[in-house]
Amino acid sequence: MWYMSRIITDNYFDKLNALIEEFEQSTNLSSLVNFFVNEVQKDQNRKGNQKIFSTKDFQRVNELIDSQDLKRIFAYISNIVKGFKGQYLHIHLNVDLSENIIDNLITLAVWDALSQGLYDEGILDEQINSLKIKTARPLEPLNNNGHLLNQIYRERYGLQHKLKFIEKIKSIKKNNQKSGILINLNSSAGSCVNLSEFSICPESLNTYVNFGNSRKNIFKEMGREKVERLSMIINLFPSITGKNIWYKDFISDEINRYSNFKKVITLSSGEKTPEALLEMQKQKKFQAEEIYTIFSFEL
Amino acid sequence: MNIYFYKIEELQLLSYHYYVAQVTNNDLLELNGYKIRNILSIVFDKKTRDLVLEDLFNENGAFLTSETKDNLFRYLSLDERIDLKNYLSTYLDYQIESEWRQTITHLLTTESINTVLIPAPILNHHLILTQLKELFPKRKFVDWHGYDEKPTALILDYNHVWKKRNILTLQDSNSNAYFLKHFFESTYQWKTYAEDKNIYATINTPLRISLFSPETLIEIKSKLDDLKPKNEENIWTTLLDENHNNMYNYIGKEEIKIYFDKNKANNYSMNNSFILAKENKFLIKNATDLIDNASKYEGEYKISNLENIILNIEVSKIIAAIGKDESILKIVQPLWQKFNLNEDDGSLWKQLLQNKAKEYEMEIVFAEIERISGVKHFISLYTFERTYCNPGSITIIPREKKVFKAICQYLELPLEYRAAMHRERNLIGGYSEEWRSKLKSLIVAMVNCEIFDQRRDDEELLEILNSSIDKIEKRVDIDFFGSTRESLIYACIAVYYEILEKIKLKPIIRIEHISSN
Repeated sequence: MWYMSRIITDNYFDKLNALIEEFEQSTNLSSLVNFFVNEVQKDQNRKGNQKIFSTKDFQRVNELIDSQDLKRIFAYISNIVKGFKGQYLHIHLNVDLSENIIDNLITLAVWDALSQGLYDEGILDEQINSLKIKTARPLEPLNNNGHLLNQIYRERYGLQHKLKFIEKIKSIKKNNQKSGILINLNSSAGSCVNLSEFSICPESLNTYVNFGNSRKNIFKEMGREKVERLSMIINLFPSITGKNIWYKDFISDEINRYSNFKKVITLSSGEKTPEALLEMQKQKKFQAEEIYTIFSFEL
Repeated sequence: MNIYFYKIEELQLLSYHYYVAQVTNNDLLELNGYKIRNILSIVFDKKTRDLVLEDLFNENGAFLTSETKDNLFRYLSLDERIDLKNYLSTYLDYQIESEWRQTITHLLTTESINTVLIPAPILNHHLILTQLKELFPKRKFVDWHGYDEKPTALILDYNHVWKKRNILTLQDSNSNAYFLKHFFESTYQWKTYAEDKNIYATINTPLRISLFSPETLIEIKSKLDDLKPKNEENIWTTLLDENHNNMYNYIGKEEIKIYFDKNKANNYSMNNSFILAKENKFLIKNATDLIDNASKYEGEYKISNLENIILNIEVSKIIAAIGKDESILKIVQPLWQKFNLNEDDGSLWKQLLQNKAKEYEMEIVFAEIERISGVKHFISLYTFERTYCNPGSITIIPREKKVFKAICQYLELPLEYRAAMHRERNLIGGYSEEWRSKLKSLIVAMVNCEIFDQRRDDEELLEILNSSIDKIEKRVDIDFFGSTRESLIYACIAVYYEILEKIKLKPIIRIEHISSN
């Protein structure tokens, strides 16, 4: 922990706590969290090598429910995003958070975005039908090779899970948002949750989650038409891998070509001295309209 | 953590003040640096005093850097050195006679503290450490690197800078810190005030004010004002802070070490670049190149660190050189008269945009710029009104070039005005990291175009620049050097003379790669 400031008043902490306590996770997000928790828990009861989620995933979903730190950070960030009326905001978490907290925070943000997206019902139905056909076929083990059998079962469970997931997305209560959210993750976030199982989602949803290492993938893979339907960008922790140049190049030179992003939010983390933070703010390196620093003493 | 300061009476500090005066007059700042103050702080008896003085005033001593020792033994006469040593010795006698040691012993006993954090040079000095162990038996001695925060410790080594841990980061710890008041109290007070001031400046933003209310922020500001130290900031605090920082944050970094002769070497971080010269042929290489091909350069080339050169370059000279190209200004200046506006009221384009917004509606002006630029919703309408249509706002030009182009087109401002504004924006950041990086690209381009490969008079320099400017222009961001080819040539001329003045080429004797592993 860095410096516990002497100037922060009780009144400030009271307001902060009230702000966080008042925050309510959206029903859609809670429902999506519960869905994954149940799925991963059920998966744990499967035979040894037939699991589609790892023990690490199991620990992670439990932390998602239990961690008070995570809830506090997520609530605080959600309040900040909601309260911001401009277009470009950079939120810096001035804390050396554990990898688990960062991964879980990214997971929550991704799920929150998924739960807010607007979906193409037709494409979702097509996916559901196609997956239903695939999962209805009887399993045809070629021989008694245990390794191969496990793989066949794992794939089948994966498809069933994918089917449930898309049905879940379809069942999420619609909100008024008319367009999706672009979430631009740093490379390490590829491991945040086993979403690779659902990598077909970007094709069927207009909410796009980029897991690629290259920022260029987002536009190349989606195409301009889809990008133009997005309204908000969340850049998650690009600076944690030292790629903080991302924001500048990416946002100012590329994202600006697309006209309809109402909000561009960048989240970064890592502890800096108060002096370095102020310098970062003065330099306007990130060209954000505002840099909101969350200090360790607020968490 | 509790931080205490032990006060030695002012009258007993007279010799110390004489010592400081001599140190200052002879430019021997390290002798009163935080490192030496920390070492002096652990002098509790005459034996330790003698051991400390013996190391400090010894050409082979370990406490001082070779640079300070060089200055001490080369430029001070024997008598001056004896005087300096006597002042310090007399002061230390007062320190020994004070109740400093009893205070420490008392705290160790009453708080049952077994770990004492002392300066690293003392931990590495066998004789002094042995003496300390006799004075404080059954105690474990560690330095900052060896202290893992778990045991309750008594901290006697003042450090507010080490990134891993320092007295400010240990606030939740049960440890205690004790320092001599005249050495560290003022520094500590101003340091903590500066930290709070920076935190206040960081949190005093519109969004936080709206989330927490203006009153809450006013209350915090008033608390900050109350905490401002009453005494004036000690000049030594700012003088010594950088050394203090380097001392603690140096360890463990990957670096390149370049020997210029048998004993003289400098360390540089791995992201540094260097200008190399051999028989009037100049090259630019980075640290990795030098390490990978050390044998090629050792004994063959002379070298100068490019980052140091850039830091020493007088940016004002480059800016003044760029300003010699007045082609743009001649067109821009009459515009004030043309539009009947006053320069003191803010940017021309913002004033014009504000007037348009008054004449038409804000939304119409906004939509028109969207149409011309082809960029829909280039910024929120709220920000557009608050910054672009507000001549008092600090934005120089919009982030995106084509939006500014559209604004200029809409306001019927000539191309030269746009170039002038780009010039202004880029030159105002003349001391920024970004500008330095652009300057580095220019120097690299000039070296690659062989501009430095022989001494040239003005005419020859202009000749080679005219023939190379095409190549240079392609390799640099011309917007940072005045936006016109003429201004780029002026910038190159200024850079040429600045480099010749600032470059100090030294022979490369040996190259070493230093890494924590």
